[in-house]
Amino acid sequence: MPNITAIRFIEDDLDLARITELVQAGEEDLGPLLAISACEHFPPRRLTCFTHEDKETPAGVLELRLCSGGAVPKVPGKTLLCIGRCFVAGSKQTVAAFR
Amino acid sequence: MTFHTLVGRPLVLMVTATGLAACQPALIYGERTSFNLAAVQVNDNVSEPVRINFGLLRSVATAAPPRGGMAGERPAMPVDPKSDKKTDGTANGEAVSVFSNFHLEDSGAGSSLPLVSDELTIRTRFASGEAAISVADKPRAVRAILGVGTVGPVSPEVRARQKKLVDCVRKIVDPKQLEVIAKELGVESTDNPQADNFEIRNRIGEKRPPELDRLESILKITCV
Repeated sequence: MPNITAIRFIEDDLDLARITELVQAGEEDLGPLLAISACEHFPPRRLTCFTHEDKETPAGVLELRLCSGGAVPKVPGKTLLCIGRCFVAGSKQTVAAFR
Repeated sequence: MTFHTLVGRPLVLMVTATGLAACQPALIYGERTSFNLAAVQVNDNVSEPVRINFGLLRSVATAAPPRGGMAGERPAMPVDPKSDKKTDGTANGEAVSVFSNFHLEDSGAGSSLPLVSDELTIRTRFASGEAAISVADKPRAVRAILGVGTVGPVSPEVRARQKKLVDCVRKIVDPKQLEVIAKELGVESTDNPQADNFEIRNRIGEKRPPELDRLESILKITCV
């Protein structure tokens, strides 16, 4: 059954490691990550939206990886959760989340 | 070592720019931020810490022409013939052409001293001129431009405080209690306490001291 979701906004100037920490914190506070998307609805600000679902977060640490050239990397021992556009260190990239 | 104060310079520059732009109404905005760190006592006793002073000085100067126009340039306000009252809702001299938001964040991990890490971020946003005028009477648009809350890197201590508040809120089921917290956070309550609880936990992640101080004060009885 679908659960309630909430969005957390992150600024566009953080590196992937910092973004990962924030998303992991989001999973602690709210629940598992559901979606990643770039948000340019509040110009001139450029934000990334991370949607979290209100349910217990499954075991396993979340990781974010850049998808260079659009190709989704393979991460041994991890399952792909979602892919989305994300502002990383000021530039819009495609990012994949794994657990 | 001494502090280098710059408090007079933005005003001097603004006065100069105002003089040059005197022929037409213009918004003039000046900002100067300086950060200084001075060691005031260093001695050979390694058991004594170095004593330092630090300071953050920020000067902002804004000269905004009145929305009704500069003196001598304002057209006569139209008069409502039914009430004999002037119909222009803008008061003479009211300047509403600039919005500003200033955010200082110290996110240096592992640093126990404030503002001495290498992760100091100062973020300033402002909207001026046509952009500000067009949204001046639209609070939601102003908030959208300047006030969208974001989560960002924080120190481990602040993160621990956020998490403690989140864990406390998670256990709250009383709608009235949630409403009090929601109001503090600027969250609109609904008829679904579970949804409200979730959104409140979401917003806590955006908060820093002293907002966390206030939340802790509100929740101290619940979370003891």
